Amino acid sequence: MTSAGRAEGLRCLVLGGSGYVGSAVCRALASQGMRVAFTYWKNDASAKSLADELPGSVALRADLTQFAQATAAVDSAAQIWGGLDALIQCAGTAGEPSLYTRDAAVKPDRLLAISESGWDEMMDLTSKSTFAACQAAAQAMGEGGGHIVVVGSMDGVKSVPSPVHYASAKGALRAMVQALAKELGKRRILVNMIAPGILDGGVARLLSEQERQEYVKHCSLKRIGTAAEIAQFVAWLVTENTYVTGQSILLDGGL
Amino acid sequence: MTEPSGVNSLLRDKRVMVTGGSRGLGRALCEQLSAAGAAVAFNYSGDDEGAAQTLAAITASGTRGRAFKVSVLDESGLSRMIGDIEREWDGVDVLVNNAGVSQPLPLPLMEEGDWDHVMDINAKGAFLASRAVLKGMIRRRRGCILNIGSLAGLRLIEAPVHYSASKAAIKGFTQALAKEVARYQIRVNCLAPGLLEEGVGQSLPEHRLQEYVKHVALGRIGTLQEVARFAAFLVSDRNSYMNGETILMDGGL
Repeated sequence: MTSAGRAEGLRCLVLGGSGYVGSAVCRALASQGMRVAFTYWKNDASAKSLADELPGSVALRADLTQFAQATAAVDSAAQIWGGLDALIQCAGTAGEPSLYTRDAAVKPDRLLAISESGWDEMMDLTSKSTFAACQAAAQAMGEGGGHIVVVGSMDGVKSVPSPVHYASAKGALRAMVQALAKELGKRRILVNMIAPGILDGGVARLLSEQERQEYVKHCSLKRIGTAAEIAQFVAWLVTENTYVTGQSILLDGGL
Repeated sequence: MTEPSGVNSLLRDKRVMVTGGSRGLGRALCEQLSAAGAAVAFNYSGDDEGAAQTLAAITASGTRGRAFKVSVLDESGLSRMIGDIEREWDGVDVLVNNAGVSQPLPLPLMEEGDWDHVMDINAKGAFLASRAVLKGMIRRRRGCILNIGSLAGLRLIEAPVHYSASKAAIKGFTQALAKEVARYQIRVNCLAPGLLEEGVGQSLPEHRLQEYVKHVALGRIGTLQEVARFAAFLVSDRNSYMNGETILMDGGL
């Protein structure tokens, strides 16, 4: 069967669909004939624009820092379609923007600038929301199998100079993906993480030009990535993958 | 170029070289890559009948195919083979280093010759084939190499030490080569399967196979087609920001 044949009509929920990577994922999935629902929170204009762009898509407003709302978003999508084939988690936060203006090598005080509430917000939105959504998605997928793809970050896989709470939350995702893959494998639910490097939007917009240049200097492909490149890989995992599970796949251009 | 009959276009217009294509995973790779629209050439060392079957499968996809009886350890033979393909097809876009062997030997019974044989075909073969293909890729400033590694080179499992060592070498080879040739827009990655329906797993006693499967999240060993399908995606232009990466495909061991 061609990939278009496999993709047609698949029921997909994208968390954080109005964001830079999330919207690219929604477009990639919809372009292959999949049914797409996505969550958004504060960015009403982007959500409306995306919903208009993708006929038949469903926009769900949800504050994913709230466990119940993450669960409800999955339940809503599953109710609309009578089930769910794929959950793609793209929601996240960079944390306090000022953390990224500090040069940790010169002024090693970034650690001290992370507050308790900042830590909690990071963990809630990144890891707790993923857990809540995966728990609900596993129920919605039932015994029919499915795919969970978490878009994390290289910061949770490699040693790179990132804020500690950001790296910790992404690292938690990596372990969560491994444990979920083990637990859900018997129900043919495949769970993987894409770990992008620096992209030309999203969280990376907070980085200084110096940091971006430093990344490009060490990236073997000598460029930052794009959301479309991440989305292509997500689309393959959702439509074609039958035996990769529990993996964190780095898409960082060879750092 | 007209679209080959009955195939998707993931690799349309790509010219692919697969090492060790006369059987097993190599044949599945040739079949899947040609089904995705690529022209596929492959080498083999001895199995003429198997090579003929692979070639027939490639051409049945409606794409061009070529078979070469050349060992991956025959430096001059590889050079002639790549020269022939470059002349006929005007280049090679993708190399899949698949050729590999194993022997179910415990270390005390492993002779120096056994070690050399496995290391030569699995690791040195990838080096020689890559070197032969890279000259053209560097000249054209584009290309992609996919090395077939193994779970045995990455995880602590019971496997022949020369096989594990050779596959671990492939991971290092992948990383260093990726760094070296990225400046020419050539990507190098490694796909490392767990036990498959054919290959190393076949030499395992039944009780050990069952023990392995017990720990695989998906509760089964992988198929050649599953690996080949992933390989087709990995070498395609849709996978454009992965470099130097080794991906395990083991069903969640």
